[in-house]
Amino acid sequence: MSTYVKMKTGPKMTNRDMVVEALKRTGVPAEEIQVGDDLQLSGYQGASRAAHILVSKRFHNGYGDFGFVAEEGAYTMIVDDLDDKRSLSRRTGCAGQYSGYVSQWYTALEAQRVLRLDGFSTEVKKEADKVVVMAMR
Amino acid sequence: MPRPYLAHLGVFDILHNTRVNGPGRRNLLVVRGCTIKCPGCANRSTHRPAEKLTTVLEVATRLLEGYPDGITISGGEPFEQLPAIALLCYMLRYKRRDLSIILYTGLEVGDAVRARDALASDNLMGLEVDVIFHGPYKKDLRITDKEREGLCLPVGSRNQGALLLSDRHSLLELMTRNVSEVHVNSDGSAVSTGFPNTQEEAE
Repeated sequence: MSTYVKMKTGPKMTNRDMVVEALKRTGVPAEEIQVGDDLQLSGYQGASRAAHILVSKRFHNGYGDFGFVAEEGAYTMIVDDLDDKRSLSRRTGCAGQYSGYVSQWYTALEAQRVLRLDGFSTEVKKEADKVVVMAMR
Repeated sequence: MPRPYLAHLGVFDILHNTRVNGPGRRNLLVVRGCTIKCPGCANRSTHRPAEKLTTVLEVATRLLEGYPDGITISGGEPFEQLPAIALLCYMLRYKRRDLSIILYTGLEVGDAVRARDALASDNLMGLEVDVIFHGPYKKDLRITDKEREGLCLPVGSRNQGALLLSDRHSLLELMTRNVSEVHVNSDGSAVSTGFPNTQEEAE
């Protein structure tokens, strides 16, 4: 039999560069992604909070900016609920919530990283609602 | 616990559009339930019998989604649900004569052929598959990473072989290198399949 291993959840987002790359893969242009330690994310009705990765609401014409804050070694997404379900999904063309789309890409990039460490050459592609990482030696 | 019978199957999962489980773009059926339990098996999570069964018609319908080049049936042990597997293959072929069907079993080739012949002589249908990859996985004969750098059969250990039951595929066409795939779903869950270096499931 070929191996068949199911993973119920994706990995924690611990790698900043890979979070940024996942955002790019979902369709956010590189110039829209700010990375830094003192970024301020402006949410619905001007609510503000610190973030380490930030995309302005200009990108998706939404209620607020979205981004990620580093907490206990992992990046947590901060996004307005309606933006997550509507404007960001619409802007990037993903089927469900945008936050799920980012974690889908992060998982794929993490799988690619691990397979490359194992000596495989890899190819990542989007197929319908899945992201598939092909690996071969 | 319900027993699998002709019209129902214990299904572990169905994966669409895999390219590492046989030639072309294939849909993969992983059945649930295996009493062989080879030491070091990569798919131990499929060994437990299914608590809920799925109708063969539903399985066939899902396997035909996306117009694949072929179907691969793995597991678990498909031969432990042989009447239902035979019915499934019959349905698949009834819908698509051109469909390639590959089946994996942990049985030795002689036992697999006897089981198939017994099924036919019981006045049930024959087993309409193109290729049977057969033999139990043997840990001490595991195909190593180095050996997979060249072409080899898509099996886990060197004692396993391929029985060609039609002229649809040649042995060369079935040969593969060290290939695997990770399918990441939109809910963040993922499936890893293929013939990677790490053959054994984590203890």
